[in-house]
Amino acid sequence: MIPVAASVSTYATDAVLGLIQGAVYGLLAMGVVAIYRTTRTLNLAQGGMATLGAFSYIALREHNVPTLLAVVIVIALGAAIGLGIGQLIGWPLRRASTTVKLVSSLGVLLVVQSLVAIIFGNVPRSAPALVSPDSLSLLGITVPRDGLVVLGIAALTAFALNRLFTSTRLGLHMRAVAADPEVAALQGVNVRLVTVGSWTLGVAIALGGGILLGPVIRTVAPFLLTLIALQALGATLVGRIDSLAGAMVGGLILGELVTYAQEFFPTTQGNGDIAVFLFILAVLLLQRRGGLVMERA
Amino acid sequence: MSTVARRASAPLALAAFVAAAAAMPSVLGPARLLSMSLALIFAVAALSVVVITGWTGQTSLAQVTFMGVGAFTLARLMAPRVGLPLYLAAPAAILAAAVLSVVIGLPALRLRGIYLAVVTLGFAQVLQDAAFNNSTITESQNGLVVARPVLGPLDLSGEHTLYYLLLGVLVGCCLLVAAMRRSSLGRRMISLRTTEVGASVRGVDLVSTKLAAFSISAALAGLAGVLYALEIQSVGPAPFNPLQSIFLLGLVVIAGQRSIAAALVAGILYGWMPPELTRHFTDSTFGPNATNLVAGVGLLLVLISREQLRGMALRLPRGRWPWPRRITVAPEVHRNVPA
Repeated sequence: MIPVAASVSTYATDAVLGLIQGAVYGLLAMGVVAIYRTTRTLNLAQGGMATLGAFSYIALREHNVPTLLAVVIVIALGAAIGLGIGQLIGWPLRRASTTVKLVSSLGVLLVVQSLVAIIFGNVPRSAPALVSPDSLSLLGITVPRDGLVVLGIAALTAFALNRLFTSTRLGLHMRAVAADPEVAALQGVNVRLVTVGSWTLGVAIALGGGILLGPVIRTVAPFLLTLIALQALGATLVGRIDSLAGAMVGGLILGELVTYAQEFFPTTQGNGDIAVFLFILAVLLLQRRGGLVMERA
Repeated sequence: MSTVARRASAPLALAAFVAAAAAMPSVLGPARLLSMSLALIFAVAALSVVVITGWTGQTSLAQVTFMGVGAFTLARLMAPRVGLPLYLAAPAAILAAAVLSVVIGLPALRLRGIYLAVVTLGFAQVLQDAAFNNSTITESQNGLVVARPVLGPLDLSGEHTLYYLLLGVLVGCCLLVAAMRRSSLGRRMISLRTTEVGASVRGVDLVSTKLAAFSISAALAGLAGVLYALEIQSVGPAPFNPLQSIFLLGLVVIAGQRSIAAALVAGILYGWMPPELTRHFTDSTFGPNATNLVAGVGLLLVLISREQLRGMALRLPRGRWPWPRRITVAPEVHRNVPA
């Protein structure tokens, strides 16, 4: 009886840990969707940017910068980078084909990845605790206190993003540009502002997500970037890269899948990645092929 | 340019490239000859990118991973435990890459859009973690050893013999791919890239065309992997990590992406740039990362300037100089819709 009880609590703990991990994936995925909806650019550099955020946060904390200030600095850095990308790459390429836009994000990924490796070195670092390093125990489930903080922040951000898109003027303009840039421009929407704004928002989310990633996975390595990019991109597929809620749902599912894959197949190499890959294949297989009119992307 | 000059320019350029490449063994030292051999090998891989991205308009982020599939399959099949000869192991390795590409390509390619990029990124990641880095598959930390065999009259253990074999295979691939471009499949690929709706209306089967292009491209990459295994004589995980595919794609796009010449240029950049930059920047963190930085910045500059030039060209009168003709612009170029 005891092993069963023990395993039940293990699985329950896994569920919570998966939820925490998934919330971060979902947040990063929402950043991808925010950029894709208005600019039709699939940002493959999202994982690289999250890694940049995680590393800058760790570096700032190592220089004894207070937590809150460090968070603000990293998010501001993200917004600045996003602004730069929007102005220098996003806007000039607004009329390019989807393929060209995709490849431009690869260029950004190459630059970000090499800069992270040059500035911070190629060694993994351990992330400092966000609030406190101890754990909470409730009903036999042990959860790190930081994890709950991460969950709370992710939920709040997701809610705020949703509100931004549904009930603010900027959100309305973003949706207008997503529907048709030309018509939106004719209605007086400042398309350039929206394009650059989406990039600013998306990259700020990526770097902020990187901060949350630290406490969840403990050690941050430069090669993490493709890994996390895959989770974020896979999560967006649930909503065909167009739905913020779909991205969050996809992220949560992926978080659970990765955690349970690591629990059930501890000896299989690359267990988490295989789970993500199978999830991506399954989501694509389940999507209806549809007519030419139905699919836009 | 007259029609004759235009028709002759591509074969002439290829002939000039072959002549220059054939002279290399007598000019270069062993270290730089290795760079040149790698350039020939990666030119084959770059050809695979031209087929799938330049002509078909689909983004694959796993071309170097397919190289890895070819290289590892060859190494496993030629190892003493199986002991297949090269002329059986090489086709098997190429077939393995092509079959895998169909399996992973089908779910993404039956949908319209950019899903292939996501799937291939995942595939590259999974193969890196679960197969290439897996010691039960790679058997040792240093990778699998590949012995260079004697192939009929050719003793491949000689550096120069192998170099000329690489050159011959590259030229063969160029001619094959050029023939494919002129065939019905080539025309279907181009029409699909230009507009999927239009191609479909004209009776092009989108899914089978995309799948054919993707599997041919994976087979070419697998062949490049076979050549790589023969050249380096040991197959480890490092050269096939996911970032390498992105790097290769970046170089092909910089080089022009839609022509066979672009593949040759990209191959030379891939073979020469990393060792030369590492030689120049001896600093251990900057040196290896400089290549990605250069490729990334170069890629962005090329994409943006090309887009700006296209914008300028649309505003110029189109007629035979100096008589301007009325401007007629294809409507699709002007529309600001997501393609």
